[in-house]
Amino acid sequence: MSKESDDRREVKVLTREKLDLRQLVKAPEVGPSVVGRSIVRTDAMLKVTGRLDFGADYLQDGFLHGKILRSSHPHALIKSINTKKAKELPGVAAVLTAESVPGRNGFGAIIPDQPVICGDKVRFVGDAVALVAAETEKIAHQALELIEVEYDPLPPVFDPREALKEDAPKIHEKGNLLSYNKLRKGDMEKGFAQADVILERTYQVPFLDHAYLEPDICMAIPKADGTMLVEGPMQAPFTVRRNVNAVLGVPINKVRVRQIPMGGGFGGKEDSPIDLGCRAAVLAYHTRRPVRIALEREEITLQTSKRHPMIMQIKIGAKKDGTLVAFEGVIYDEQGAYASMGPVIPPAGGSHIHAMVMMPGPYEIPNVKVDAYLCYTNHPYGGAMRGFGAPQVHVAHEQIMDELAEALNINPIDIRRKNGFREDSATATGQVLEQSVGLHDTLEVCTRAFDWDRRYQETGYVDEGKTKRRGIGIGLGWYRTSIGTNNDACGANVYVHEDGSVLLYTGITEMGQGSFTVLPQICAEELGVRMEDVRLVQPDTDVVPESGPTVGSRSTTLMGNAIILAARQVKESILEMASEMLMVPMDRLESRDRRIYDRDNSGKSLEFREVAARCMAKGKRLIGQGWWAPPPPTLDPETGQGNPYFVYTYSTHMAEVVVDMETGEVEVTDYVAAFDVGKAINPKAVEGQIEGGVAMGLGYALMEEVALEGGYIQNLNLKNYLIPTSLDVPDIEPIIVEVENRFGPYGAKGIGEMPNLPATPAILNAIANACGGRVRTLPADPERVFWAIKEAERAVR
Amino acid sequence: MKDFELYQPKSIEEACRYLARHRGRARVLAGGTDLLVELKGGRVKLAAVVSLKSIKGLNKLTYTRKEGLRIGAMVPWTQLLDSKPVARNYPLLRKAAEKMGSIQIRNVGTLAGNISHASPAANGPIPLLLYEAECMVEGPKGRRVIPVEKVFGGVQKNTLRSAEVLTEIRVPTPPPGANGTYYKFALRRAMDLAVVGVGALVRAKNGVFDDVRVALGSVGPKPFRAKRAEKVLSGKMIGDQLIREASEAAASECAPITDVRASKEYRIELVKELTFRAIKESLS
Ligand SMILES: Cc1cc2nc3c(=O)[nH]c(=O)nc-3n(C[C@H](O)[C@H](O)[C@H](O)COP(=O)(O)OP(=O)(O)OC[C@H]3O[C@@H](n4cnc5c(N)ncnc54)[C@H](O)[C@@H]3O)c2cc1C
Repeated sequence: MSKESDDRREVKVLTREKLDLRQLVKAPEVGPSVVGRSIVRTDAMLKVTGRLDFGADYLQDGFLHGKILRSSHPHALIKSINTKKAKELPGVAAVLTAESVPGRNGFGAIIPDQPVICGDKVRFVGDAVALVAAETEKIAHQALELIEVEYDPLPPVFDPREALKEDAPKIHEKGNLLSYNKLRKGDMEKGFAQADVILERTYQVPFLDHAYLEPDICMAIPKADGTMLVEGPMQAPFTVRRNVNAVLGVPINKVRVRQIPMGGGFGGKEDSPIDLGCRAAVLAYHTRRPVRIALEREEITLQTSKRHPMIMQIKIGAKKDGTLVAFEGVIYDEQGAYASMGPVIPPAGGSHIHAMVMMPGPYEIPNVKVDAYLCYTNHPYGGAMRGFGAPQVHVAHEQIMDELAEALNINPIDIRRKNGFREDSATATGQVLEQSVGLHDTLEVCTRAFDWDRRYQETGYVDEGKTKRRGIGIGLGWYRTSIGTNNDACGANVYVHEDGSVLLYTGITEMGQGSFTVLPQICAEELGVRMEDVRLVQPDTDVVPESGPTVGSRSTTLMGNAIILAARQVKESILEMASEMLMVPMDRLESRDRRIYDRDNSGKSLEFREVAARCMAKGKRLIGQGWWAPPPPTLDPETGQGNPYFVYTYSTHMAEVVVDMETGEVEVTDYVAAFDVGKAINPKAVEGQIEGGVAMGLGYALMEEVALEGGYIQNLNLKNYLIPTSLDVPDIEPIIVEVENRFGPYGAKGIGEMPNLPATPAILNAIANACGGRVRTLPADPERVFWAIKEAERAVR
Repeated sequence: MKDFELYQPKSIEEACRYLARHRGRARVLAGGTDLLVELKGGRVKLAAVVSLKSIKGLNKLTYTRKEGLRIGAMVPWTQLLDSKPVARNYPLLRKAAEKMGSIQIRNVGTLAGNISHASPAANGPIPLLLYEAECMVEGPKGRRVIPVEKVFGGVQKNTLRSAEVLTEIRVPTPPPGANGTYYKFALRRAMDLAVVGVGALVRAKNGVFDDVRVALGSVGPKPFRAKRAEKVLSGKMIGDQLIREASEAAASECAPITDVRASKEYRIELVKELTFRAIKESLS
């Protein structure tokens, strides 16, 4: 399977030294090593031929089917629940209510504030009031209909600003303000006093659904020895285990969590497997039988986490030449009913604080103030979704940069050239970016590849009938690698066997992003074997070391380093043994492509497997365990100053759109996206992330929105929750720039979440450039664009 | 989904018998791409489903200049898309087929099902209204012909009697020299329902509107012919000003609703612009 991709399209990989801005060079692709090569994904054939078993394909023999009765009110007290009729239905094995939860009746990725089964009160329409397990899914459905619940409706809260009011109904006992965070840098008054132009704008983004292809599924299997096995597609097996054990009231080592192939997650399968895992486990605990809960699409929309909606107010000040002098931001971040991934994990973990840190954008601004409020409401809850608080603020800072450029009559790329981060820039949190800052490289490369300067002159009507106008837009982006918590670390085990084959154990999961290809690549490279010699073990909390969650664009970098450390321990044995066998000093030995050879006399060599066999025979260590944590994060809770994340990925996107001036219809017609990823371990995989991310960012810009009315979701399935189809996505030209990350494996840093962030504002800016109207409340669907055009036309008249 | 009886009759008469037996609580199954969605959603509860799959001859698609196009009830959209006579003589029907769902949906979904489902947002009604098609219907009391305009009874309501089956759709050859177009305005480029559907079929003679047909969808409980707009144009000298007037008239015939997709105000604006464009394009 380690054939290289036969997709022969050009992959542009530019390293800093090779960055010739007069000419886009095609970097020499293939070196002798495994890293840096576009090796075909290890799961590609299985997936495209349909041979990979996803959860829904698993045998269901002997399983009970779990179903969840959800609240019929967004906010209400539960007066009574009568389960008698449901229990009497033949084929029903269990009907559970709150008092049936054996341990803690609460789960959550950060704070366990979400009831496994609600007892006294419901806080959104996705809340569970009862669980059913039955012999068939149909009986389970029937049983749900037989449960009688009486509610006492409470006044609901649907707006974070309303939630903050003193007389607002309290959703949780501690009140509706889950977190208030602030960032203070410089002197705001002085800053704004220096400004020639001050702009104030408000941007608003809605709840988004991940719309992953694979519906959630979870299987809980009670084992004879008292262990509970929980299986399902999931991004964070260790977080699931940590919740299931508390909910069952058993020690951690009595719960085993196994990740099975996952059909997309985008952050959503960080939360939902906790939810389903706990509920399936409680049903399995009571029935002592394996239980599976498979959500239907409508249930996913109802019950699982979303991207946080935000209302973002910005006041920005700049000098005539575009130099930014002050930035003041307020974020009303809507958490919804439960804490999920919102609240702060010190010093800089959680989506809310991340949004605050990122809000001023990748720009040097001497005076910055941000106030960020995270509020409970009676809506679905916000969790992790590709970008974790950052996509929202990118929509704000990249649009206001364009609005500012327009007010100052400066080309949008020039205002970014002037203010964008460079090496040794200080961020809003006072972090000095000492290394791996490729923002300007991406900006220049993108400008050239997109031919911005020419196109900037050529906007205007594209048809004779004068109905359609072309416009172009830019979006810059930055994104952390790592999650900003003190416990952010990864462990890896590497076992080499006497035949030279390797097992690699990590807790990082595969959700389509390619980790199961990139991680073995790193392992093979470090050991000096081939890609096909390494088999990666599916994450299983009984088997693999704690690795944290597969989030935060951390896997390649943090786990890559852990793998290198583990591999080096084994390699040391191998080289020691080879040194004995070849009688060559160890420091002259090289391990590469299954051979150990003398660097000074390459004729002197051994096969890797010979040496491994000798190690085994002699009782020499062939297992390695690596553990890697990034430089510790810091962030002062009072001032928001510190180094919250140790390295960032940078990017520039440019989009061309055509807007129909009379209907508001938008077509994205061309797209270039350049990324500084430090080092592309697998360039094709990076491209895949870029293309998918742009498509996702396009959906955020143009069509996606969980439509809510009175706390009820109006678009429960994919008929009305629209995501882009392949016809909506233009050809995307990805460009990879490599500005080495000193802390990364082979210089790499994260790419997973990043690509959707600048895409959304690049498209929004292009729309504004084309039609003169700006949509500040997403999505910019044809109707919003239409009214924005009308408003702009009125303003001109 | 609730349990129901599934019948697979071999003839139309047999199908009608089953429908009659469960009067009002049975439905015909063609491709199922509308019916199954309704059944799964629980909105429709049925005692019986009568599949047309085993009835021979319902998948016939024939064309003669004299008789026009005859589309059997089980002809899926893909067959329409692959048909040369359709491409040659009924470009608007072809366009409706192109804009229909996805390959999978087109492979099983039928035009007859699309018409019977009577969604105001559907693709099929617009070309059929413009071509003035007729529905052949068979029931316990015999056969009858319903002009397509009369087959829509309201939002997802057709005017068939409960034991009747739509057996064939007949589409006369369009008036020679007529040109037309069909716009399906949706929020994304595929796999979406129309926010507004507009079609026009126009024949001009000596600078005068000779035969003008305008059809609208998604802007009322049924898809319909915009008669007022047609009247504004008919027999008049071609001119932009007049076409604008006609578009305003078309908008005045609409009674759209506000839903998750769009507001009624916006739909009205779309009708005005797209009607204008459709007529202009039909003239060029
Ligand atoms: C993913 C998806 C995408 C879609 N996209 C579109 C689209 O772009 N445009 C669009 O217009 N529609 C769309 N649809 C709706 C649907 O596919 C079409 O309306 C299709 O043509 C229905 O045909 P069918 O054969 O599947 O009908 P069925 O579901 O079998 O039947 C529909 C209704 O008509 C009745 N019926 C069917 N045949 C007869 C008959 N011969 N006599 C009497 N009654 C009959 C049935 O009882 C039922 O009530 C889409 C549906 C899905 C699921």
